[in-house]
Amino acid sequence: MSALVRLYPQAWRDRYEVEFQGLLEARPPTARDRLDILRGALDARLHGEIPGSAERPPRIAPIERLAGGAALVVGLALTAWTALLLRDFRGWDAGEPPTAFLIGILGAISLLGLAAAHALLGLAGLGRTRAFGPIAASIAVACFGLTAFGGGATLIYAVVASVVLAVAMAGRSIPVWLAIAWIGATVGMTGAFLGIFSSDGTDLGSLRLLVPYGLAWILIGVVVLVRGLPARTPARPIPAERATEPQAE
Amino acid sequence: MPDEGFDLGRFAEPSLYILVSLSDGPKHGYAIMTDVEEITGTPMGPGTLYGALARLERRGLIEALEPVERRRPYRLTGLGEAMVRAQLERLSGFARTGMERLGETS
Repeated sequence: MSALVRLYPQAWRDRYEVEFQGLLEARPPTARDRLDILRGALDARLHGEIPGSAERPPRIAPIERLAGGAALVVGLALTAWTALLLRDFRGWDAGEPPTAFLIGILGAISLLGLAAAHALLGLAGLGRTRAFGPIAASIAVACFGLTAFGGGATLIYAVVASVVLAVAMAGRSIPVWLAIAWIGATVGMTGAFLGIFSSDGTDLGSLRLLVPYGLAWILIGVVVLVRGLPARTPARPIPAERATEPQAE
Repeated sequence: MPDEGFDLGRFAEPSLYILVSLSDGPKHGYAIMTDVEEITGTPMGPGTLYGALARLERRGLIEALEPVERRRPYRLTGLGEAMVRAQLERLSGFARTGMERLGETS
């Protein structure tokens, strides 16, 4: 039974473990109770409703859920697409056009990427990157849209979109591990792009570098769904002398 | 089940059961579970019980007392008592209206 209790976060266990174990000893849990405990542990991890712990996590806005969901689906789709390419890839210039199925998947990825980029950048643009947000969103959306045409240029557009996304996200206080995962994945994707072009589109091995990129999207999607977008970096304070300047008519 | 703006989510209904259970005095977790089962006829799982207890305590609707051995009793706060009273009055009005309407049609 202690194994089930260990699923709860440490802060919860510090507060409730002793009495909870006592309860389970007094009333041995049924199979249904065990499921209920699993659900309770998941809830405690997701919502952190523990008396005396730090501030309650903010509610995740619907737009953040949409962004996270889109990022997750993009990640899953990209990973699936990469797997299919690795299976069927003949080289971009091998004279064999991509199958309709692959084009369809690529189109779906592009549309979802568009939604994710728009939502993420639109939100990022609300912080100190207010002026940059809409521009970055437009660039990223255009790049993701262009990927629908396929071909070797697909990865160029994807790299540009990734860099723009990364710059826009820099306006937020992203956890270090997430930033490292994101940068690592983007480097991997750039490596895949370089590998393909340096081998005239015949290097299958470098395509594997796309996998971490897809996984990074999945990771970002899950994090945004569970925790919402990272807190915005506070805007720089306006210097006193500028703050008191009269507004231009 | 309305939760009076306390944002209890899926724990709103179990929370009301717990508040009702504590209405006649402090109880520890096991006593609350058995009492709720007796009142409602439906068992409450341990995960649900402690998910609701944590929320209620965090919102100041109940408070934890000093533990006795491994059992920690909980009791209603003034805010918790006001909330459960308001909810029960609303439910009572709802039930009365429903019964009246049933009486009209039978």
